[in-house]
Amino acid sequence: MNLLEKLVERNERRLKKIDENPDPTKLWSNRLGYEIDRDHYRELLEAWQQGKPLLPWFPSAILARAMGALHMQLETFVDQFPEESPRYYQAVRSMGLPENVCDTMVLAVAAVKLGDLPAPSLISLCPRVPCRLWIYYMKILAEYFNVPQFEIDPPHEYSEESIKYLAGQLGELIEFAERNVPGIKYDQDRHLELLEAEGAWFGYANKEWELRKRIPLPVDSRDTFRQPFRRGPDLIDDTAKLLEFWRQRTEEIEERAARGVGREERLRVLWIWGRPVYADPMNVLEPRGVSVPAVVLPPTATFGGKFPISDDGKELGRQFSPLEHEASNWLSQDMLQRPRRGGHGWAEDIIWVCQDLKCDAIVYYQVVGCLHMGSPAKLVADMAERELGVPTLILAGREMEATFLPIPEFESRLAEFIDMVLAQKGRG
Amino acid sequence: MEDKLKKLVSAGNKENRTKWAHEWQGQGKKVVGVLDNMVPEEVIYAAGMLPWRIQGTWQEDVSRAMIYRMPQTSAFLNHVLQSVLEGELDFLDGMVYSNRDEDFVRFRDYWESLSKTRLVYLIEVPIMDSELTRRRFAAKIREFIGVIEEFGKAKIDDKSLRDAVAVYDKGRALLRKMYELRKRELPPVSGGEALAITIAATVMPRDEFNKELEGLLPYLEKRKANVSHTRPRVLLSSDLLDNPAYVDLVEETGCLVAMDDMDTGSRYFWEMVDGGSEDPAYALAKRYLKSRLPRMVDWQEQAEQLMQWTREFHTDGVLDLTETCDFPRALRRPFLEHWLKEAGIPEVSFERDYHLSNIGQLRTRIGAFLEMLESKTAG
Repeated sequence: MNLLEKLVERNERRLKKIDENPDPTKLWSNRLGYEIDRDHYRELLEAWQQGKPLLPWFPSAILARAMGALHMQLETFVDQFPEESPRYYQAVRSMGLPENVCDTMVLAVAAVKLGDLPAPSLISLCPRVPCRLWIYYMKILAEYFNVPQFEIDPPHEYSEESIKYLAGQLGELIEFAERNVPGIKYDQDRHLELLEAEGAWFGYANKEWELRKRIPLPVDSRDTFRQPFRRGPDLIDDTAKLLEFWRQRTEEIEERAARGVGREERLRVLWIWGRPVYADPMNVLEPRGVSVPAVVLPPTATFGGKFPISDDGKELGRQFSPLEHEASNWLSQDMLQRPRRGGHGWAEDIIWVCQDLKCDAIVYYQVVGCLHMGSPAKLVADMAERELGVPTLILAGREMEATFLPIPEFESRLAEFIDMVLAQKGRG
Repeated sequence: MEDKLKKLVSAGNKENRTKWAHEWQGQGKKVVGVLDNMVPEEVIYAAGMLPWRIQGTWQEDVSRAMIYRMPQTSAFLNHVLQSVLEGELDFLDGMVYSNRDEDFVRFRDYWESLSKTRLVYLIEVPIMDSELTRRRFAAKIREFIGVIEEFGKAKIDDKSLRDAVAVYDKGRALLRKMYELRKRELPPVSGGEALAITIAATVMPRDEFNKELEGLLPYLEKRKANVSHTRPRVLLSSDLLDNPAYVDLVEETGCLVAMDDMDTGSRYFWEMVDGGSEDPAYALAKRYLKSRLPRMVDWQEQAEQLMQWTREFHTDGVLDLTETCDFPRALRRPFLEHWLKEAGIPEVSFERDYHLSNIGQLRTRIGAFLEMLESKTAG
């Protein structure tokens, strides 16, 4: 069974469980969320079987859909199967690839090589994230599967010149894809519809962000780790269903917040960057009364759910074209500007998130091999301590397997840190 | 002449490498550290400042740096940070670097927080060479010119930039002449000496370096290097390798390093600037984007360049010494290996640290590769 089949099956099981034994403590809208996930994997599976174009790590997921293709965020499929990592690492070794790069990415390449995930139809040599290592992962996929590759040179700063430069390249990418990949045809009307849906999705997600400031946290912290904010209009063809999920979810959280529903909170922790999917941090956090209002994760790099809303060109005194809108959204992502802003900019953002979500402590999980996000950990820790008196635990490990940080060590270090902060705050 | 050669070979040594920088500063001029190959040094030179290539400490202990650095990061940068923390680079007036890879991009954070350098500047370099990216990079170079002008309180016009380009291109041409001589059965310089001379170019004022090398070339025409082996001939490929002792180690194991593919070696000077271009910034952009370093995505062209050098320098195989956590190079490796294998060129890759270490293990591994090359040649 390939990973997409397993994911369809897994979500079927979840739905069945909810139908047979609904848990009143969980959000009811989760049901629709799982249905969307299942539909997403099913759509991908069918496209794979029918030879439709599939685009991994495309510059814009909704642009892929507007081009008549489907987008694949490969690492988010792989990181749901940590038990497969030994097999994938073996494949990485046999491919001659380094093992010390960020694991979910290189293992995703292995999963494609082993036929557990579909091969790409086209590679765009630039993802919508600033980490240049992604470019090389895509280069590897393109070389292995001998598929057309299109190179995009992404600027880092937000400016009209950058927007034009990037939008121009996106236009060239579309022309290239239409020429080289059967089944690709850009539909601007569909793109506009999807951009509108994306705007609505950002609006809902940002509203949820506001609700996450409430104490007690009106959503389960396990839900935070599942990153529900990633459910965007690129996932399924039925945009109305997707937006209905967000409407239901936001209303439900709003209603919980109004009633003060949520676990008792003794401490709020902001979780940054990676997480070990081979272990469950909540095993340590939940019994200690710790809530996690946000997990700040790439690739969306939206502080765990706060999205940049494009002004659609108003500031520049004109209306953006759909491709300029894409470019603007891309460049609005704070992380992309980090090479210019430096780690201090990132640390300042984390300080802002900490204050905005009223966090008492930070857990910074450096994913080994992820230099982009991992490197500024010490800067963040120093600034958080200095400016907010907020302590940080820095952990380093892989996401998928425990060589660098075995589960007992992970749990004991996390527990020790939480107990120390609780004691310092007199809440022990 | 031999003494002059020895002096040039030792110019980049730990003991000597800051000499010219201090002299320069003694004349009231600024010294700007350059962290990697993608920075157009000509711009700095045109402003009357000395571009000076940064090295890390060659000592093993980087414990102070590792307080800040995460595991599995560039050994070169760990050693550079250790140097920063030990104050070895305090004399630098500025530091310029490119987005060579992710670790370099993030390295700015440490530099800004922990060093005394007044100017820290990242020049954004595209990862591919096309008309679009050349124009983009040219615009970035013009921005860089503005920054350097302000920092150095100096005006860089087209003429001063062209003059600087001419000086640098002369240095490149001289180094290429020296490398041409390496095609001989018994070349005038060993692999270690060739690397040391190239490194000298990166720490000396370029016109002074040019004068020295130009004066030495007639002598090199006649010189025969003191090497223990002339066969097999090896093409050494690596990046961030600035310690000639590594090359000596390879040669002492039983071969001649007849050519290299290194950012501190041939990749530093191989391409020339198009002097006829109307826009010197564009000409620089074009030149730097042809660097053929693993960070650029033209991997197949990079492999073809190695094949061409293999033919021209009569080398028997490619020895790749990838520095630990040099990810672009490590990720390129399986493809390079495949393309070289298809071309019938033996290749092997070993990891190495930045400082000279694991000597015994490296010697054994390299020795096994050389034996294979010898038996292939004999067969």
